[in-house]
Amino acid sequence: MTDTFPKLLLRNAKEAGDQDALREKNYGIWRTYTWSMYATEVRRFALGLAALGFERGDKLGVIGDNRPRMYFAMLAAECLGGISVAVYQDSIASELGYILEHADVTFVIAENEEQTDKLYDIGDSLGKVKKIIFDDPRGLERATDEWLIAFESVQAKGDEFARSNEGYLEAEIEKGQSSDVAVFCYTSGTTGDPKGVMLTYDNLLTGIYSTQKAEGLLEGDELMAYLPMAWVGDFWLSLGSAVALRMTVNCPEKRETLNRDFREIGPTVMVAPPAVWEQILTRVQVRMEEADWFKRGRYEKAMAAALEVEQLTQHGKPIPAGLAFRNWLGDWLVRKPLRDLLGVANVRLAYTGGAPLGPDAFDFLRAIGINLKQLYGMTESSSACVYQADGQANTETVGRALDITEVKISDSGEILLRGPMVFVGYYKNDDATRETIDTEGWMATGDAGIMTDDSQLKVIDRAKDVSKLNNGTMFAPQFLENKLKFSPYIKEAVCLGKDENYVSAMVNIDLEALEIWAERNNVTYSGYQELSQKIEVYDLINAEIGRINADLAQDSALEGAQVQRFLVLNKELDADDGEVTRTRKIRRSVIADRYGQLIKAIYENEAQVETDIQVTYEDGSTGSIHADLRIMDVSGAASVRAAA
Amino acid sequence: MENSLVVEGAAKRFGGVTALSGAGLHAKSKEIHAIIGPNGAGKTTLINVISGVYPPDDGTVTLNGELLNGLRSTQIARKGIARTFQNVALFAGMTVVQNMLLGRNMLMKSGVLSCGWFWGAARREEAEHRERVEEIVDLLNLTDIRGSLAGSLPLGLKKRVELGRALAANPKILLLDEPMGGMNIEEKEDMCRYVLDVVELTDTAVILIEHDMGVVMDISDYVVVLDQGTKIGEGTPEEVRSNQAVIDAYLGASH
Repeated sequence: MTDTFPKLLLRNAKEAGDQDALREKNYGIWRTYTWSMYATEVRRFALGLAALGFERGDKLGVIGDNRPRMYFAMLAAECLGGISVAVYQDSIASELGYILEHADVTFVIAENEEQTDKLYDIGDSLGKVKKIIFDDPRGLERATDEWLIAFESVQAKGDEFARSNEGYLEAEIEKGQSSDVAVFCYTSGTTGDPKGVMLTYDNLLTGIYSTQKAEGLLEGDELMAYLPMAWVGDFWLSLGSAVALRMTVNCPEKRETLNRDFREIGPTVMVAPPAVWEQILTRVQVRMEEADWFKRGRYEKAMAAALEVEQLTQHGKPIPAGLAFRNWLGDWLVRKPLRDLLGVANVRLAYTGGAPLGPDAFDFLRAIGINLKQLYGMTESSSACVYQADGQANTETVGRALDITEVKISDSGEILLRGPMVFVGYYKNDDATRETIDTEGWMATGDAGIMTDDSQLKVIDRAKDVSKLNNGTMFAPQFLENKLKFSPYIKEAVCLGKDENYVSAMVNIDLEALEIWAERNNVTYSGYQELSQKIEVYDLINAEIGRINADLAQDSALEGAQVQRFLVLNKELDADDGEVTRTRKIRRSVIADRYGQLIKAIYENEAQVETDIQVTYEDGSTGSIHADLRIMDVSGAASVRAAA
Repeated sequence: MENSLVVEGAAKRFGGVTALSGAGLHAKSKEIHAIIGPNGAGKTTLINVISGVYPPDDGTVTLNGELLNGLRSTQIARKGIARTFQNVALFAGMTVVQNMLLGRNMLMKSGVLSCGWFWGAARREEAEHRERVEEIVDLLNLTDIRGSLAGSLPLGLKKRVELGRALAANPKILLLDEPMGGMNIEEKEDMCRYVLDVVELTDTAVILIEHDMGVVMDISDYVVVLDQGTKIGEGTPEEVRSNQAVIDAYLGASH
């Protein structure tokens, strides 16, 4: 295969030049780029980069929200045989500096002043960076520094370059091979420094075409580009598959207008991490609690019918006529309007991945009528390579492998993958590459899992996080944490129990949901910290955990894993403090370190503990928060603890 | 284009109360003039006189050489003077964008009938006005509440929308009556940024009444101090800060 994204873009411009390729909402209206306009923008920018000295193999740093020009820049770099390196836009200066330095980035495109300010903060250690290109000029009108250059200026240089270099770009694009590296995706890394995963066009395209076949992705499908550009999933979807399969990408106006923009576009394919799905769920739950009895009644009846149907379908059982009718009515009266409100009315395929989604949340969203399916993959496998097919959605497994992917379980219970979508290596880190991919091409995923009888994959947890309680019960923290997060009042949870007698939890309350609850229950507070320590809130969380414990008690294997004690943290776990990754995965070693005192107090049966936690503010400065945290026993769980 | 507003010897009496006597100022394009003074000093009265809410009993108000005395407030607005109000005067039942489009009312040429039927010229005009309003929405970061009803917004945002409505009229002179009232530090910083952006990007002269001394000292080019209707001091922020008469007026002195 000699396909590369630049070649495919040229093909699109030629074969479907007038079709909508990319839209952006600006000043209140959706503005469209057709494939030929897209190609023109890319061409002009690429020639501009060439004029500035961008060479084959050079790396382009990309930092900012999803904007057409950021995608144009990435493709432009690829045209010249370069590699894009996108960084999470909410990274603090030091994280940004590490990646740009490690990846040997020579040009950076930054969305706006907020990002260029960070680059200037790092300043000296960005010695290799020749130019910083910016998209939004607001705040940078009077910038005279040589380092900075506007996107339009680069394109103007490109026009000039074109005059004396006919056919330069076409020649460069021709040189591109599918075995060339297209992108470096730095993994957020729950342990250690981020590593640069190198993915070639082959890696990505084999996955894209195979997924198209397996899942039925169509030309003209509408996608929303709202997930971080640094995430491999967005590169795969909004750039890779959009160009390869000719799908239309829509960039929302701002993060705050996301919900409205979703509604206006009505995407047909939607991918989101569990956090987004949980947010949608919380929104619905919280709003329905506020609704009047009539609306709430109709909603509850419709959802009850739908959940019943969902359960039966998942277990392959037939649906009685009466239930089918009630469900149809429920869909017409409640669920369809609800889907429309959430902006998912046109969604044909919806996926969740990146981290496990709680089974209750999954079932509920499917019951609302969203064709939600699990997928599984990682940056090192060029994004997802295991999918649940339509009609096979369930919460136990993550689906079947694509036709190009082989899956096997190692002797130690770790999931291994093999196929053309496996990455070619970590940049400048051969040791890590060797540790991850063995001599026969099997890649270690770091996840513990099993294969079911009908060749579906089941993921249990991160291999190194799965452990046992002292009473022999298996302890899979993520599984428990997901159950806790199903409660609208719990935003984040960390479950502890390795080498202990029982499971305990540290939780973050969901401020949005609790503000409303506090108002309705006459609980006064002057801020997040105070609210988190209110006895009423503790009682509420206690009840929530109690419900989850009751659920766990039903399964003999999980009985011993009921949560016995908990505390509510007085500050949200934050990526800026290193407690979670940028994709909100818990970093257990960091948590064990920072909150060691709290964990000790929990297991020593204290009723409260004093803490002094260091925090990093958005501008990078640090401070510390002092607080007294309450620790509570979960009601009704005492019996399990005594028995341990 | 250089704009200039000159107020000389303005005086206003309400029955036996002399709200204003002999007050004056001279504001030019791209300048920010602050009017400060204790409560009841006559600051809002001065603004009302300038914008034509009532005519001055004495003195003159001149815009770019043209005398404004005696003109109605609608006529004065048409000449290019826009203002905000101390207690916010938005239309609560209309959306943010609708309120701001109203600011462009005087610039609209289409008549009742063509607007009603939304014919050709009216359509084009509406698009132009909407584009300009969207630019201001973007400048003032109001994009996510664009469609919200003005009455449902918190005070800080209402004030921002009022500023937007005043800006929508492309004013030559912008009168801001306590734009930072009731805001916390972050909100004040944002408002200051917007006011500074306005003088940077346009030829507008800004006259602002403010109580927050930090704001006054930080962003104004020139300060006029009123007390009990008369001007007791003026000059650059530094000059005024060390003016004894001003200090006495604010802190009170047993003279």
